[in-house]
Amino acid sequence: MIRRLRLAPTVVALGLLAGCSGSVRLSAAAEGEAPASSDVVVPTAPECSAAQAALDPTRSYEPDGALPSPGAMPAGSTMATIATRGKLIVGVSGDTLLFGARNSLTNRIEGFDIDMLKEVAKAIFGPDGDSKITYKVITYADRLPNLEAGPDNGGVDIVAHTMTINCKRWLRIDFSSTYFDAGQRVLVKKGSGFTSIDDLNAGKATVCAPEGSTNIDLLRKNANDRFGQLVVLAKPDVTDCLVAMQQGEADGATGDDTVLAGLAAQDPNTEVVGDKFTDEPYGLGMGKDNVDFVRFVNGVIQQMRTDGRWQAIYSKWLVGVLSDTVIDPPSAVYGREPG
Amino acid sequence: MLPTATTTAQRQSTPPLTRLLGRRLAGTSTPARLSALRAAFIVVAVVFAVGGAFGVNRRANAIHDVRTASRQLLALQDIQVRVVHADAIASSSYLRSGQEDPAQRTAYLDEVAKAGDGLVAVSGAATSTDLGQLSEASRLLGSYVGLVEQARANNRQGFPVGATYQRQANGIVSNADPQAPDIVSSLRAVEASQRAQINDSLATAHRAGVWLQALGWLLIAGLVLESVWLMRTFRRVVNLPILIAGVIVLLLLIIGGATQASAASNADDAVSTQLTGADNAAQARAAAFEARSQEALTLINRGNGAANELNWQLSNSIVDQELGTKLGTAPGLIEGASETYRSYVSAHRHIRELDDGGDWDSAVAASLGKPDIGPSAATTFDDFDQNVGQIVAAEGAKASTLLGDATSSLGALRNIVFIAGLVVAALGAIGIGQRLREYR
Repeated sequence: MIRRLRLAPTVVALGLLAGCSGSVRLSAAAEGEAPASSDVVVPTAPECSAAQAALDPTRSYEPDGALPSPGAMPAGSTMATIATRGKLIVGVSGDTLLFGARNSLTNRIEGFDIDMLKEVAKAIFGPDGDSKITYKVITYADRLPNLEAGPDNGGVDIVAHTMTINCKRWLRIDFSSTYFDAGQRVLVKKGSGFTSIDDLNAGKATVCAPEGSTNIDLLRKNANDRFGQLVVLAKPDVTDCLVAMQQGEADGATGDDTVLAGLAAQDPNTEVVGDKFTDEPYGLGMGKDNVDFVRFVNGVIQQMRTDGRWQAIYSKWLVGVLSDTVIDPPSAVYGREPG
Repeated sequence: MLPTATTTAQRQSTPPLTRLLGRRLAGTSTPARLSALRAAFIVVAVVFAVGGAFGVNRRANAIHDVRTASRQLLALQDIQVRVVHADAIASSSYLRSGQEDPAQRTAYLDEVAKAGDGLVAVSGAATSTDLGQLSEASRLLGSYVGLVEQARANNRQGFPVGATYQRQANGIVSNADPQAPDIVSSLRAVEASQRAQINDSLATAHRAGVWLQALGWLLIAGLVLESVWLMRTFRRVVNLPILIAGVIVLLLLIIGGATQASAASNADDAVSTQLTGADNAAQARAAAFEARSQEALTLINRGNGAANELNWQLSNSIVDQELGTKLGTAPGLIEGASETYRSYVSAHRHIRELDDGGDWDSAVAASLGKPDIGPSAATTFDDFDQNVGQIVAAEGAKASTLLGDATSSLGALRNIVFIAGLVVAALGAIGIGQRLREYR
C-alpha cells in the first residue's frame, strides 16, 4: 500500500502527460504580401469642347524648316535630351502582326510601326540609330498613360502603336501628322455568314475589341442605335480577341483593317469582311506640349513621303496584304498652334 | 476460515465505502457476496482491457491519420510544384521560340504527366469536398496543356497570338482573380483541408490518452476497495493474486503513460518540426517556380510585364516568408536554400535591370542561361530547387518515419493493455476464488 502511494504522483504525472491536450498545430499556408502597384495612374479622360471637336484632328505642328543633321540636335530641345540619353524609348505593340510584333524566330520586334520609329531614331542619332531604340511593349490602354508619364517616370518618348489621331487624345498627348490611313472593319470566322458589322449586329453576335481602343469606343457610343444588338466583349489586346474567337467566346472581332489583316494571317479560318466603317488616321504619339519633337518627327515623316522610304516600308509589310501595289502615303495636314 | 470469523468481521466498524458495499450485499451470504464481487471485478477489469486498448488504439489511429494527411499534404504540394515547374519550363521555352531545348520539352511533359498521376493518386483518399477541388484541378490541367500546345504551335509559326495563349495558360495555373478558377487555388484548398485534418487528428490523439489512465485508476480504486474488504472480512493482509493484479495495473499505467506520452511527443515533434519544415520548404519551392514563370512572362511581354513583375514580387515575398520560418533539422540544406535563393534573386534583379535598360536580348540570355554569360538565373534557380527539394524529401520522410514509429509503439501497447487487462481479471477472479474456496 505504502509503495503504491509513493508511486502515485509519478503515475498521475504520466497520466496527465499522456492525456494532455496538445498545442502543436500546422500553420496555414503563407499568402505573401502583394507589392504596391507601379501601374501608371490613368487620369479621368477629358472631353473635347464643341469648338475643338469641330477642327480637323489630324492637324499637327508644321516642321520648323529643314531638319537638323543627325547627331546635331538643337541645344535644349527634346531631341537633344534624347541624344544625350543615348536611347530613344518607344512604346509599341508586341503582337500586332505586320505593324509591331515579336518575330518569334529572331525575337526581334518588327513591322510597319517599328520601321517608322527606326527612321526617327536615325534622324536623331545617325545611321546606327535603330540600334539605339529601347522597345517597351505596351497594350492599347497603356499608350496614353506611358506618354503622359514620360521617359523619366517609366514611360516613353514616342508611341507607334496603330494609334488613331482624334480630338480627345490630343487633349492628353500630341500627334505627328498622319502616317497611315486605316479604317475599322470586322474579322469573322470563314463560313459564318457574317459579311459586315451590320450583319453581326442583326445576328446579336458577340464582337470583341481591345479595351482602350477607338474601335470599342465606337461600339459603345452607338450601343443605342446602329450597334444596339451587339454584345461587346472587351479584351486587353487585339490578339486576345483572336483567341476569344478561336475559343468560341466571340463571333467576331473589330479593329482597324491593318490589325485585322495581321490576325487573319495567323488563322486561315478567319477573314476580314465588310467595308471600312470609320476612318482611322494613324499618328505617332508624343508627350503633351513636346512641340519641338512633334515638329521634328513631322519633318522626318515628310522626308519619308517624298524620298520613297515610306513607300519602301509599305511595300515591305503591306503589299499583298492590304493592297496589291504600293499606295500613296497620306498627306500631312498642318496648322495646329501650341497652347 | 470459520463462519464465526465472518460473523465477527461483520461486527467490525467498516469504512464508509465498504459499509456501502456491505449494505448492498446485506441479506446475502458471504460466499454469495464473494461471487458477486468476483463478477463485478471481472467486469471492471474487462472494461479496463477493452476501454484502455480502445483509448490507446484511438490515439494510434489518430496519429496514423496525422501521417496519412501529412502524406496527402506533401503529395498535393508535390503536384503543385510539378504544375508550376511545368509552367516555368513552358514559359521559358516560349522565349526560345523554335530553338526549344528537347531536354526541357521532355522535362515539361514529364512534370505534367506526374502531376496528372499525382491527382489520380490523391483523389483515392480524398473527401467528397476535396474531390470536387481535385476534379477541378484535373480539368484545369487538361485545359492548361491544351493552351500551352496552342501557344507553342503558334510560336513556332511566328504568330504573336501564341503569347496570348501562353499568358492564358499561366492564368490557369494561378491567377489573382477569385472568380477565375486556377489549379494552384484548387490544390491549396485541398492542402488547407489536409492541414485542418492534421491538426484535428493531433488534438484527437492527445485527448485519447485519457482513456487508459481513467480506467486504470478506476481499476486500482476497485482493487484497493476489494483488498480492504477482504482484509477486514478474512483478516488476511495479503491476497497474492490481487496484489500481482495491482502491480500489473500500476506498471501498465506507468509504462503505458510513458509510451503514450512518448508517442504523442514524437507526433508533436514530427508535425512541429519535420512536417512543418517540409511544408514550408514545399511552399517556398512552389512560390519560387511561380516567380520563375513570371520572370519569363515579363520578358515574353517585353517591356509590358509590369503586372508580371508585380506577380514575381508577390511570389518572392512568399518564398522569403517561408525561408524565414522553420525548415526542418538539416542546417546545411537550410542555409544552402537561403543562399541559393539569394543568388537567384540577384540574377533576377540583373535581368530586370537589363530589360528595363532596353537590353532585352541580354536579359533573355541571363534568364535562360547561356554558357558565355556566366551564372544565370536558370543556374542559380536550379541550385535552389535542388536544395529545397532535398529539404522537402528529407523532412517529409523523417516526419513519416516518426509518425509511423509512434503508431507502431501504440499498436504494441494496445495489445499489451488488452491482454494484461484480461490477466488482471483472471488474477482478481483467482484471488477472490481463494477466499471462496474456503467455504467449500
